[in-house]
Amino acid sequence: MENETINIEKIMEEIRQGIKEQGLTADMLSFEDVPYRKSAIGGSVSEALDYISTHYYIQPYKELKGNPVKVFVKKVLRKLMKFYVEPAVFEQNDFNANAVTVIKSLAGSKSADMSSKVEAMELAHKELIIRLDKLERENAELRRALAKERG
Amino acid sequence: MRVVQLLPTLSFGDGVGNDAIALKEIIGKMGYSTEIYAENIDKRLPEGTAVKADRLRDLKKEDVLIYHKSTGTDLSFKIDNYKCRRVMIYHNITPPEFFRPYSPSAAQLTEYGYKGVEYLRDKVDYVLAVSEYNKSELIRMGYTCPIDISPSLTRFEDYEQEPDAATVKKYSDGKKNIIFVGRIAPNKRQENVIRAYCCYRKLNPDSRLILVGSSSGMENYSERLAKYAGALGLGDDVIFTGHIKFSEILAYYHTADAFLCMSEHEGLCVPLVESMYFGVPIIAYNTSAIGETLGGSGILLDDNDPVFTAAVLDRLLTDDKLRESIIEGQRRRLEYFSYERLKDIFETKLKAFIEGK
Repeated sequence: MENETINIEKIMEEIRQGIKEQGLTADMLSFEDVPYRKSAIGGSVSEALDYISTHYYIQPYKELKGNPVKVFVKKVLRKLMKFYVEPAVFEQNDFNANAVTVIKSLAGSKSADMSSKVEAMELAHKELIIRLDKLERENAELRRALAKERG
Repeated sequence: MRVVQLLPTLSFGDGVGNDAIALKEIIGKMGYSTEIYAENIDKRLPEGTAVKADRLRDLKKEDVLIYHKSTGTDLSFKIDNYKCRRVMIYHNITPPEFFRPYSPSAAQLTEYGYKGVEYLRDKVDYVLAVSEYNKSELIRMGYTCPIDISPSLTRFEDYEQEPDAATVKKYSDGKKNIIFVGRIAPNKRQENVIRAYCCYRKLNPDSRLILVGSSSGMENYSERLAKYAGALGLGDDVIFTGHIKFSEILAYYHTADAFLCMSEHEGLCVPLVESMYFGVPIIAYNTSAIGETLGGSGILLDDNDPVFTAAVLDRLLTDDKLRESIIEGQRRRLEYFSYERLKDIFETKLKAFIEGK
């Protein structure tokens, strides 16, 4: 910061002094306070919504793999478990279908808009608290100075 | 003898692409047979600018392959298949940590980029780094081959084009225009520019902050920045231009009163050079290659305290003598980046390498 015609270091010192004298502070909302959409490894929220919309129906039976003996054993086991697995899977599918319907309607409805409004109000609230703190501090300092003057 | 360049993508208007195109002309004038090879070639580029990378064959032992390294690509792991002399131009890669919260794909890409740089450690014979900062990064990564500095070429005549008239008119309304030019990216710390502007606005409400740059691929970060500006009550006084035409970028430089850079990672900050060209006084936070790019010009800050930055900005915009002195210093610094000078540096270095000096 060397300069031939002006002394920048001196100017910087003057600026620092000015800040001190005026009591300027950086009382403001921190960037970390601002929520944001975190990207999951699997992709965005809309991608996740697409996924659940197309994958909510679970097949109770999977393709059986292995050598013919293993496949035969698995088939027997599957038959034996059928009475338990099938109703549970169908019940789960009913629940999934309803859950997806609700999630999609929430995502598409005003509630998404509302949540962003709530978020903005929460941030504004935080910012106001910071300002209020600052004003209270200034007020206390002024009162002290006034009391000193009177006393 | 052939001296060819190789890069994964040759884009239109992109810094690395422009550098490769300028170098092609210089290498050709040096008397070597030359070509640019790229895996992806932007269709907006004139026919014949580059050739598809898979057509790069028959390189002889004495030929020279110049590989531009700036991103994560499989190409880095194939460079040793070319049995010729290999040179790398290192443009730098942004550390993945910056991207992790906002874009896993960008984080993965840059991580892969660093793996490529590590892989090439003992596969290249010579490196041209675009800044001293990049050179020291390579040395830290274990590079032992000769490394010289050859900054990217900038054609200043491109800046002489007409700026977008509508943009100039819109922002020539007497308000102080504080700008930062650069894509919206977490390493550029636009939130700290906003913080500093928030403090400055209390000193001068008749001002605005313009963040010039595309947010493509960084939508989550961009959205967070916009929310932040809104929550701080800056509203319409913080402008995000998004991706704009070149003539509009010129217009923002033409109407700017100051350039504020709080970036925490730059391999070589070209917008600072552009500001020097347009006579826009610069205030920048001293990190990575920022101080090196400014080379003693502009105002370099040792910390990113928003109150101090705002006070410096206010002084710069109210003290004519200081402003003129800063602009004059920047004008002198601009000579370092003159096309002729950088062209000579590149020619000398390449010639010395080819002749084995």
